[in-house]
This record gives sequence, C-alpha cells and structure tokens, in this order.
Amino acid sequence: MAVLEVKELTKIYGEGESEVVALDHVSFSVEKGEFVAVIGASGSGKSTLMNQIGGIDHPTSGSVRIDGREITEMDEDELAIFRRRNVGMIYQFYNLIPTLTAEENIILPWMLDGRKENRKKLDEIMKALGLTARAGHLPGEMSGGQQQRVSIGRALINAPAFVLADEPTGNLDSKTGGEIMDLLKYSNQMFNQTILLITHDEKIALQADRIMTMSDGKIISDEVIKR
Amino acid sequence: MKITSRLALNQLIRNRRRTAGTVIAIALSTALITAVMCFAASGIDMLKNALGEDFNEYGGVYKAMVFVPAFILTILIGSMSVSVISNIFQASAADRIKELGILKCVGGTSRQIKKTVISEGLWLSLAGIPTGLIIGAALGYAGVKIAGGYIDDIVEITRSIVMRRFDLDLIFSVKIYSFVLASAFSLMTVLLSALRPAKQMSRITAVECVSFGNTQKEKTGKISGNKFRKKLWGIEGELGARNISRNKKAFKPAIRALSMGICLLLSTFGLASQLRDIEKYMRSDKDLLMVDYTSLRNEGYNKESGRREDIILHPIDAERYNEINDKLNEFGDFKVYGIGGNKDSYFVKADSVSFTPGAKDAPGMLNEMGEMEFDMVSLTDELYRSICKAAGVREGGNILINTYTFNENGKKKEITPFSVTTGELTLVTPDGKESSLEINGFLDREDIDEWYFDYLNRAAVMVIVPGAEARSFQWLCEPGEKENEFTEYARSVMDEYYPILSDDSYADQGFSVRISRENTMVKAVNVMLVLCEVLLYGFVIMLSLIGFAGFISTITANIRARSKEFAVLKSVGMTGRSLRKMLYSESMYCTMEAALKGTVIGTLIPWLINLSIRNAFPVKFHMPLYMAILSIGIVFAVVLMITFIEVRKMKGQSLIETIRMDAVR
Repeated sequence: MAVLEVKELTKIYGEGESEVVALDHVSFSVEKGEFVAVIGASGSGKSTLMNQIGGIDHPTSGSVRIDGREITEMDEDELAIFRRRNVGMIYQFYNLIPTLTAEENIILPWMLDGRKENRKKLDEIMKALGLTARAGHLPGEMSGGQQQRVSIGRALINAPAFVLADEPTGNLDSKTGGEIMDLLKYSNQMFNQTILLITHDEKIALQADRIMTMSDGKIISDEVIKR
Repeated sequence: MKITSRLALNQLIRNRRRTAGTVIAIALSTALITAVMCFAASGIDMLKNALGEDFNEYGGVYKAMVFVPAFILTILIGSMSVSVISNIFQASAADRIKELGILKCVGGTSRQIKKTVISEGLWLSLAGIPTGLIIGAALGYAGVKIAGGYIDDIVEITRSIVMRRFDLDLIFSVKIYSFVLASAFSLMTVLLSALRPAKQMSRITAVECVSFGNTQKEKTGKISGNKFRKKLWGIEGELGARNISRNKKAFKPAIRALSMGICLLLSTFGLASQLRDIEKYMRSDKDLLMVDYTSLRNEGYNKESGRREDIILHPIDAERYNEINDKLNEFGDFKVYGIGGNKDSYFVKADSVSFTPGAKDAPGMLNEMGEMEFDMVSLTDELYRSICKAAGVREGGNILINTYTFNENGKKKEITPFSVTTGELTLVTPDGKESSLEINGFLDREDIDEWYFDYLNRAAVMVIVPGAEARSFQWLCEPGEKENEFTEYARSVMDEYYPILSDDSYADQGFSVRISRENTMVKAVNVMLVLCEVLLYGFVIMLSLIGFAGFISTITANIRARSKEFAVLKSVGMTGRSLRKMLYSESMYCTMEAALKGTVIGTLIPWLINLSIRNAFPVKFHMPLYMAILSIGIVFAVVLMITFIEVRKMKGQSLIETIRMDAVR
C-alpha cells in the first residue's frame, strides 16, 4: 500500500523573467516500510520537494496524498494538525526548542495535541535512542549527535506515516553521522517505519533501499538498491 | 501547564533582561493609571465632602473637572503603554521566530502560535500588574499628599478672598474599584499590545518558518554611502547607518519610544512656560492691599433693543465711597485712595466719536451692536483732584482715558483710539435712551504713574466722571507692617456700612466685601499652576520611563538578534573596538532621528495650544530652546548608558560560541 503518492507535482517561484521552476511535474509513490533516499545537487529541488510533501508549502499544481489523504487542499491549520500526527520531520540543524528538555522536545507533538503522555512508549524511544540519561537536559547542554537523536525521537513519537529527514547528518562528523543513519535504519527495520531521506551525499544515500535522483526540479532516476 | 504557556514562560525566563524591562513598563503603566484612579477617587471624595453627596446644582461640572483630566491622562498612558509594550512583544516575537517556526513544523496551529505570544503577555501581567498596583497606590498617596498641601494653600487664599468659611480637603482615598479598573485597563493594554505581534506570527506560513526568514522585509534597494558620515564616524559609522537603513523596522520601536519621550518632555516644558507667562501677565507689580466692595448684578438682555442689560442691585454712591475712604484714612500712617467702576449702565455710540486711523477696527473695540463698551470710572475726591492736576483738566470735568489695550494674536497692543478733538460722547442705555457726556480732558499714559494707568485701563471707552456711582469699588493702600491691624480696622469700617450676615453675602445680601492683597487671586492661580506643573512633570517623567524601558527592551532584543551578524563581522576581522563603535553610532543615529521627530512634534503641540491661549492672554509661544537641549541631552545620556551596558555584555562572548548558540537557538 502506498503511504505517499505524488502526482504531477509542480512548484514555480516568481513570475515572468524571474520565474524559477523548482519542481517540474514530479510523480512517484512510496510504499509502507520503504527507506527512500532523494539525492541531487544543490538547487536540484530536493528541499522544495520535502516542503511540499511535508505539507509545509503549497505546490503550484499537482497532488500529494499521504495515507490516502490529499494534503494540497488542506488549509494551514489542518496541515499543522495533520503534520503533527502523520509526518515526522528531521532537520539538518535539529530545530529543537531550546527551552524544553530532551524528553519534552520529543513529546512536543503530543503536548501540542493536548494528549496524555504515554510513558511506556516514551521510555521505549528514549532507550532506543540512547537518551535515557539525557532526558532532563536542554538542547544547549547536548552534543550535535545527541540533539539529532532527540529530533529523531520527536519525529518517531507519533508513529507517523513516514519520516522526512532533510540532510540529517549534514551537520555532524562522520562517526556521529553514521550513528544517526544506523538509528534511522533501525527504526525502518524494527518498526517498519517509512523514511524519506534527502541528502546530497551518495554514500549516505546508498544505505537506503531506493534512490531517487533529482536534477532541475525533475526526478531523473529512480532505482532500487539490491543488497 | 499547557505547552503554549510553558513555552511563553520559558522564553521569559531565558530573556531575563527583556522580561525585567517589560515588567517594569507594565508596572509603570499600571502604577500611573492606579495613581490617576486614586487621584480621581480622592478628588471626588473631596468634592463630596465640600458640596454634599449630590455635588449640588453644578454636580455635572465638578464631576467633569475630575473625570475629563482623568480620561485624557488615561488615553495618554494607554497610547504610550500600548506603543512601548507592543514594541517589546514585537521584538520578543521576532526573537522567537525560530522557536515558533519549529512549533509550526512539528504541527503547531496558528491558534497555538497566537496563544503562546499572548501567554507571554499574561505571564508578564501576572508580575507587572500587582507590582504596578502597589507602586501606583504609593504614587497616588504621595501625589495626593503633595497636591493636598497645595490645595490647603489655595483654600487659605480663597478664604481670605471670599471672607467666609470654605473647606476643601484632599485626603488620599483608595477604593477597590480603582484597583479593579486599573488592573483591567493594564491587562487590556498588555493584551492589545500582544495581539498584533501574535497575529503577525500566527500568519507566518510554515515554509517561512522553515527558512526562518525574518518577518521584517529588509530593504533591497541600493543604499548609497555618505562620504561626510564616513569621515565623521569612520567605516563603523557608515556600517551603523546602513544597518539602520536596512533594518528600519527593527529600529523603529526604539526610535518611536525615544521620540515620544523627547516630545512629552518638550511639550511639558512648552506648556509650563506658557502657564508661567499667563501668571506673569496677571500679576500686579504693586500688590497693594485692597478693600473691595462689589454689588450683585442681575444679568440679562433688553428684549426690545437686544442690548445686554445688567441691573446693579446695590451701587455705591460718591458720598459713601468718600465717607468710607475718610474713615479708612483715619487709621493714619499711610494714604488710602479709591477707584471704582461701572461697566453695566451705558454703551457709547460709535458715531459720536472721531477715531484715530485704524482704531475702529481694533479687536473688541465695537460690540455686536456696533457700539462701544463703556466704563464710567469713579475716584475718591483726593485722587480725582490729583489726576485732574496731572491731566491738566479743571476740577469737576470728565476725563477720557485715551488708551485702548488689546490682545493681538498673543501680543499686548496699546493704541490711542480717539482724536483729541473729541468733546462729547453719546451714551446709550440698554433700553435705548441716549444722553451726552461732555469730555473736558484726556488722560494719557505719561500723565500718571504706570500702575494707576494700567489699573484704570480696562474697557474700550473709559471716562473718569466725578461723583459717579459704581458697581464695584476698591480702596487701596500699602499698610506695610501694620497690615493685620489695618485689615481688622477696615473690616470693622466695612461692617458699619455693609455687614456680612450670611456665609454667601453676595448671593444672599446682594454684595460682597473682600479684604485681600491685589495679587492674592494671582497667588491662588500660581499655586494651582505650580500644582499642575508638579503633577505634569511627575506624570511625564513616569511616561518617559516607560519609553526608556521600551528602548532598553528593543535594543537588547536587537543586539541579541544580531549576535550572529556580529560574530561574522568579528570573524572577518572586525575588532571589538570597531564593533562597539558601530553599535554606538547606531544608537546615536537612532537618537538623532528621535530627537528630530520628538523636537518637531514636541514644539508643535505647545504651539498649537498657544493658538487658543493667545486669544485670551497676550502670551506668545517661545521655542523652549534650553529645555530642548536639556531633553535631548537627557535622552542621549540615557541611550549611551543603555548601549554601554549592552556592549559591555558582549565583550565576554566567544565568536564560535555565538555561532554555535545561534544554531542551537
């Protein structure tokens, strides 16, 4: 079953002479449990694609269906609620709330939803991410790798339809980057979590099951990696 | 605790300095409004005690006297507070844009974003409003105490003027509703201030948040360099000027807060100087002791002729004022002389006199009937004889005071209205009966002492008529050390002729008798002016403090928001000294712009007020140059001090740490 279906997705910035086609009729789908890497050079449209499928930006045309629901027709608030329940986001610069502890940052989507804390699930994720000892620490008191783990925890806490990871290792050294990739693979294999990884690093992309290559706003190749 | 409130609280704890600034601004705003409420409550109580529960027949007027200034002050406090506190929230929201962006990306709705900004306001109110209520009550108490002292002086002076029991006690009165209203007002001010940035932040789309773009659109046009500026301040000053030009919106709140401070200070100085001039105009140089008799008059209009017709109930005749004058002179040691007048019985036909060129068109010369106001001046015999001698007129003759003084657009102007050939005036009574008054001579300014002349000079046409009846009459003297003795003596003399039998003899008996110094009334006015000045300065200083609190908050937020920019500048080789110079130059440019705007508006306000004042008093507007320099100097000093504190804080910051923390934030 397709968790994500993208059809004829187009995003155009500017008008007239300054018009830039960031996404040009992009279509693809991602099945449940797939680990997909999107690679491409800077300016190829990777981040624009991420913003559209993460429901952060509205496309010029085309459709994005997540778990069977069309998100391009949702308004800002509907999208926000949909995002916190159905999409997990991981950013290059972690984007944690500096005044919340590691644990609080992880359960932020629950807090926004006004949901009760599921201690068992939280402990499970904290343990899996190796953050139990750091639960009460603020982001400023943690290393980059630890902060990125918190960010992964936040993305996974709601068992979303898929996790969107935008250059999650881009700000880390190769050892810590490797650990983060291991965590993503672990969540993919253990929890059958669908992951969409955006990177410019081919070595990182090779750890995925499928690699889509973007150039000038188009998907120029889409291949499954055989192991 | 909800996540929105929690995040707001965390933000406040994280930015302690800005939080302190905002709490101070809210507390000051609440304090001011509480003080105004306490004043109003105390004023109402004072009037109730003096006039009774229903404030007698003029209740509405008295209530307006208390509530109108309270309302105006409330509006002033409200607008200053909203402007300043809103700026602080704006800065805080801009500082939180990254945090709010993260919230959006992980699924925070616009409502939740709005709530978190408003929650900040609620938390701040929780600390600021109770503090403000306490400070406000203390301020109100101190203010009422100070004002009470002045009011005691005014009561004392008024008692000596009206010569009857007169009680007015301003006692500090604190009412629960004052606190409730002040709290509600302050909460509304804070929520109103938070609402705009809250709305702005909630409107930012997730994609804008992801890119963590600044909501303030930066100027993209070409910014030209300025060689003079560069020479004066160096490259740092040039960079500072460009920063301000590019980030106009970020600096706008600080500039606005400062210009409001300068504007308020200048307006107050300007107004105070005009009030002083009015007081000076009213003050008499001689300040003689005056025994005054005034008859009640029934005011009205003659139905047939349409002329004003006032009937003097108890005029004083020549025999009586001369007799009283003789008796007063019996006290010995100094001379007593009397001057009276009657402006109610006649008008002068304009066609019966020949005017000097332009005199007929002088403001106030002719009334709506095309006739002239007439004052029949009466003098005690001895004074009359001396004036006849001075004017070169035979005794028994009528003397025309050939001077007309009027206020021309704030300037006192004096003209000689009639030609010396004028030998007769046609007088007309309110019912239209005409009679003629022979003019036997003229009195000019140079003929007698200046003071006498100014005392007599009070209508369009004034003629000294020997033996004329008067509505009011004043016996004047300078008793020196024997003032108290003479006052007692004069009271006994007046009691023989005009005994005071009631608390309000003017209304009940048809006349009033007062014994007071000529300037007593002016003194009462002066005390009131001083009181107004004291309260006004106190109020403006408090309002300016709110402005400064706003400036501190916006500058702190600005420097904090630009920490990465500073780190980058340092990384490309800018020394700490140059960086500080750039920041000082930015503060200077801000203050210069604020000084310009504040001076223009602060000068314009008292000038506009002067336009109406000059209709009533010959008081011109003067540019308060020294005060302008002082106000701007104060603001410059405060700004430099604030910048110094902020810059000193930056000294210990490490370049790498700043860039790293910016990434974490």
